[in-house]
Amino acid sequence: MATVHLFIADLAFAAVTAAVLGLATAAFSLQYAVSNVLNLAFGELLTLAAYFAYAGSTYAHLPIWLAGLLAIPLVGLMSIALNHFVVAPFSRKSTSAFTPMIVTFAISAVLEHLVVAVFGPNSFSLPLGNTGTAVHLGDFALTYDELATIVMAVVAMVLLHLILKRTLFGKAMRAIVDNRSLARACGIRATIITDMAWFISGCLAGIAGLALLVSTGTGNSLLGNDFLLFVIPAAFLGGMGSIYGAMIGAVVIAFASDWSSILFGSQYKVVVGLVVLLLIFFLRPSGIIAMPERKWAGGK
Amino acid sequence: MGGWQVSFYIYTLVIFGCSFGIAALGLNLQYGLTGTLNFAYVLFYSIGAYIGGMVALGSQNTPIAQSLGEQFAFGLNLSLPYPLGPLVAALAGGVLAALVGLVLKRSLRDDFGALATVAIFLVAYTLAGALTPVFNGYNGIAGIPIPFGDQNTLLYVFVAVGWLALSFVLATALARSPYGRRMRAIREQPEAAEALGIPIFRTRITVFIVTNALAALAGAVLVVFVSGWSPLSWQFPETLVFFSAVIVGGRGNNLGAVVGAVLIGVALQQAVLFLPAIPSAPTLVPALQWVVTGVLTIAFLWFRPSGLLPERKTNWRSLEPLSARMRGLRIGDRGKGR
Repeated sequence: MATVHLFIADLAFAAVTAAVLGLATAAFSLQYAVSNVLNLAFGELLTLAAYFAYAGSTYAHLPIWLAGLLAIPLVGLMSIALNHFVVAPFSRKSTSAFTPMIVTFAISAVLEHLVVAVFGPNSFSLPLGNTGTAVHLGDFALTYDELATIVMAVVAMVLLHLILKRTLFGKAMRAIVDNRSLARACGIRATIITDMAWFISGCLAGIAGLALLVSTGTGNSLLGNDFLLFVIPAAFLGGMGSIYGAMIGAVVIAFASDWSSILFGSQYKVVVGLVVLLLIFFLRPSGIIAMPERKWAGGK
Repeated sequence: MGGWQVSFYIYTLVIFGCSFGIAALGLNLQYGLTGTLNFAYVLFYSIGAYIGGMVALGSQNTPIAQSLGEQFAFGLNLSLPYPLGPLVAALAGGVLAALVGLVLKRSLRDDFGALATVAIFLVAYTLAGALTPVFNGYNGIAGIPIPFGDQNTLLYVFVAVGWLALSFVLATALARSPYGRRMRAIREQPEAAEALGIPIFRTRITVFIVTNALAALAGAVLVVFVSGWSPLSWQFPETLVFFSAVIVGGRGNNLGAVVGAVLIGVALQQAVLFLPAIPSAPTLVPALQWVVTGVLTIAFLWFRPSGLLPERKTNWRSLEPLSARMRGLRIGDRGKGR
């Protein structure tokens, strides 16, 4: 019975993980959906958000919330640049899906070490925000920081949903996901829409990076890359390229990994992702809630 | 600088070049020739280094073992005669590759499989660091003796060169053989190759196992020289060094892979050391080395995707046995058949 109490007490942590992971996985999946490129430099977007916020608050002496607020669109712009100057040209040029992927891998190494070159290899810590208890129900307790993270994630998700389903831009984006050349033939300016999708994805990644920073209080140059450990299984579980699937996959992975760390110890937390991943590859490589069909496998 | 230090410096460069060269040859066969994308390549290199180190640690009663204590306890207390250690390491790499390959199954061919190798690498890396009983966690293993003793370092340098030469001969023979043609067919047109009756999955997974075993061998060649191995030696971006070597050298060209490994893995690293060190930021220069590697890889992929030494087009003439071509040279009708 003691374990049940622990599960309930851990609910808040798991919910925060689920919120952050949901944002990151949706952002990752969105990039794949519009560009057909699995972006290995995705983790660096999260890292950059954390470092931008840190730089803003430490060197420019901005309040931390303002620095964070500025970091989000900045990461969005980095994401556009990544797509416009690297991913898109290489996808146009090469016939294989592998070359753009290797390029994003190289970009990931470059960005990670640029961060080290500028900020040094040591991790930094931020003064914790408000850790007072906001909600308290039996064993279940939620601090103000955790509540803010969850609310922020839910708001971002609802906004993403509204953009996708209620705006003309969202319609154009979904058209590109379904069939890029047909969308282009219908007069949709695919290049601009794709860049905009990467901007949204970058902003979501930025929020996720900041939430990671706030929830742990420390950051380093591997912050985002390490998080890929959870993003990749969640994205596969939700069906790569499916944004709503990504959110569900994230919730499953977050709760499974947090609760398994109670049962088996925290070093086994990462194993859950691996087990899920291996099961998916063994049973159903297209994911649980997959798109009807993959547009292309390997070649273009 | 004494003569011993200069020669030791040269030995170090040669051994690093050999180890990276062997690994680049493996990646060239895997990615350059067969078109399998594996971002966990350094994981196989590393399992070879760990196993190669652990079987070489030897008896735990020696003075060095007692001074190192904990880290040394991971030795398997074996005293295998020399060539067996690297072979056991290669075997371990092959077994791990077989497991990964059987899980990924048909996804080995596509970008989903490649992304899965990223996750597999990250999990394996985290576990290797967190689980002390396996490879001593983040402290790693240390105190691995060099084969043939400290007095015979030069002998080991020759042995390392021998491993590289052996790998190169085998890789070249494989690339020229009918099996090599099969690999290229799978890379170029998997559907057409399958229609011609080539067993795609079997070929892919065989190549995957053999080339990752080669990576493990490369790790074992290095580890007995550098005498220690820990998670700091095989972080995620390390795989980029091998990809960079293959891409800069020329995808599909074995000689290119070795040249690329020497350029990216050894020469670039040494060139960066000549930059003035900045005392206030000691990590700046090593970080720049990664930036240069990444930018160079992207630049080659954009401006010269075939690399420094492009893959030679196979034609009937190059498929002729070497002896036949030599005969042609001797008679003096060189160029007649072109």
